[in-house]
Amino acid sequence: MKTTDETAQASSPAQKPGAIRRVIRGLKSIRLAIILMALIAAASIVGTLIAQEPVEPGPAIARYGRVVGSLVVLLGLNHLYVTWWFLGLLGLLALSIAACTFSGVRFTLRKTFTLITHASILLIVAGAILRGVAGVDGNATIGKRQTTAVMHVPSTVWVDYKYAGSGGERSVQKESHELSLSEPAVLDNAGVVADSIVVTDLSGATTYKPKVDYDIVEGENRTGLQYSQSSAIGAVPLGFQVRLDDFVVRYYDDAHDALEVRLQGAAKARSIPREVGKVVQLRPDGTAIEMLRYFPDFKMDENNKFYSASNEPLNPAVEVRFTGPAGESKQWLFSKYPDLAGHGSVPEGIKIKYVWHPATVKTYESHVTILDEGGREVQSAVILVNSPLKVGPYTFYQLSYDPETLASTLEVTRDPGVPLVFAGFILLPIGVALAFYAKPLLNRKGRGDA
Amino acid sequence: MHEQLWTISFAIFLAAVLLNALQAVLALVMKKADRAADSAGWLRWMRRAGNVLIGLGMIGLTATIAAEWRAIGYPPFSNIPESMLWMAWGFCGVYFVSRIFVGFTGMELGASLGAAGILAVSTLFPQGAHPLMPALQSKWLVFHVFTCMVSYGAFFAAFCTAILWLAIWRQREPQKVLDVLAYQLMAFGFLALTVGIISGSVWAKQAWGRYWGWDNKETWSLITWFVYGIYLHFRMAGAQFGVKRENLPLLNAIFAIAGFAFVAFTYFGVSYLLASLHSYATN
Repeated sequence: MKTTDETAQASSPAQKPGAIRRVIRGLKSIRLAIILMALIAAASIVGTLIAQEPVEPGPAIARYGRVVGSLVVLLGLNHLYVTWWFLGLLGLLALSIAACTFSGVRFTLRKTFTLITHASILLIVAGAILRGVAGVDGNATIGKRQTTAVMHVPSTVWVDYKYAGSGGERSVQKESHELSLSEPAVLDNAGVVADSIVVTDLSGATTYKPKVDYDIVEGENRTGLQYSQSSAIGAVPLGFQVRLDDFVVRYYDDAHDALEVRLQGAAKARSIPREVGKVVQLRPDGTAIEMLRYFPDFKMDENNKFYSASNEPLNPAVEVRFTGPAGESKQWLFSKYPDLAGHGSVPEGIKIKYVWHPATVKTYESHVTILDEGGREVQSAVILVNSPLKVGPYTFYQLSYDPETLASTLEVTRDPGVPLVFAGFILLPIGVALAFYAKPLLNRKGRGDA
Repeated sequence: MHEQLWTISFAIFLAAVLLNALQAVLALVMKKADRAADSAGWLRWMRRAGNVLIGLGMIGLTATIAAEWRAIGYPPFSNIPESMLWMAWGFCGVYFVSRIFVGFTGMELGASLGAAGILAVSTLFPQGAHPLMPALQSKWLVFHVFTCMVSYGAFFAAFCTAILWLAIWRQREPQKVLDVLAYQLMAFGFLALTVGIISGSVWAKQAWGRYWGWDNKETWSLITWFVYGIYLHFRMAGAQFGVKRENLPLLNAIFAIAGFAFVAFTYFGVSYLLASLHSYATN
């Protein structure tokens, strides 16, 4: 950025500057840089306060009401970080930094430090642009012992749909939606479920029948579109195959369960760890609780006899006995069904539930094999969060998994901007450190020499 | 073990507060009475003793972190009180480095009050270590959180300096204290935050395949970075905005206080008020 002295020199040119020079001079202005940083910071604050949602107007209007919601949608505040005006502010700041870095700078050692700082930011921006232009970002969801040769990238489609019902009758044509594997695109259907949907990809070349290529997410108040794995829209061939040999979830040894007892008038519930045979006094009047039996996988047979179907905590239940002045009573408590407790068998003034805290996930691993197009095995690897796998131009990251089917979702990227971004990452702190600590030393030395 | 060490560290910082408060009051009284406070040997010894106590407190913090790390088997960053241990450590480190270059009456008091304050505030948050979730199991964890906490410590030190200057020393040592100390603290904090944000981006790339996701914590870190970036540019070209050189200390104080409000919101506000991928510390 330009210093005060430079401004003074620049403001008295011998010739009237041309339009381009005036623009560059304006971009070089430190005042502009400060205003842009302040505007970006202010807009970012707004972005953190308003829920960032899909581009569709429906959720914003439902959340903020018709008037405020429409304003939010109009200004794009519900998807602020991808709006043209926010990206424009970032672009303008990048131009301002570029003008400061490359325009009219006399390359002295002192100025080099600031130049490194600004140039490193430009490198990061250039890397991000290169990723956006030439990179690919998608997902691949693979079931156990299944193979995929493609990944899916979010794609814009045109949707024609009509619905008729108690909420009204409406027909919509050529509405644009972005589809991704992770989130269903929600149609703004004002409380009715669409009865026919036709989806066309952006080129308009192919029309897909929804039940063939899409899962239609039908809830009480909405109709949605979601990628299915078989969809051809947005499918990018990898040039090789990925087979999920196994998917392993490992847990910490921290699963625990307890009875939570709340006495009438008490501010906090009392937690009593499960221990079969243990008797715990609950009240001074002699009311006590005893844990009789524990079944990790509670089941009842045709003779109404209770048993545990396995040692896995699939339906943990504990039988307790209350004793005291009110007499004796027994009760089964279920962690999955806490509302079942307390119907007649729990003493007056006591609320009780059985709480099961499942083990925390420690790690989840995709054991994969890469096969070439001919089906020959090339390499085997384990992909974990923080331990991606690079195959050719693509990198596979462990994103998530389906806890029921244990299908693994991998983030797949091809990012040619990495070298630029990492060069910027290395140079930025070096430039800042030199500007803060080496420049004053040089200035002091210069003054001393003079 | 680490709980006892924490208590010992806190007690040492409280003792440092008492000793340094006494030293500062006596120094001010002597200055007011026109006596040569600086040359009074016993006051200098009190000051040294105050620094020794702060140093002992910092050693106690180091031992607390090491003991907790050993006890839970992973770096203690899993909740707010654990991360505040690192912030207090960074604050003390920044103080001792600053102390090499600058010295003024009450600096020790500010440092011991700040460190004790951080530890006291940490008790307001839920305790108890959480197991590290898969995304946190990375070699970048220590480096990323450490650099961020050191930057927060530096910004907090700048905040304390600004408060001290506005409350007490504004008429006495304006240039020396603020133009040097507060600026240097904010510059160092900015550098550390830059490294913290970059290391977080590299880590995010390794974990999720993207550097930046506009998560609320990431965004507020960037906002904080911009606020201090604005300050550094504004300070450089204050004349363009009509700021006179003699008003630079006041500008430093305003930004040190306002900037720390952004730091505090990024640290606590985002964790408790906004949804964030980084809110595992409060879960």
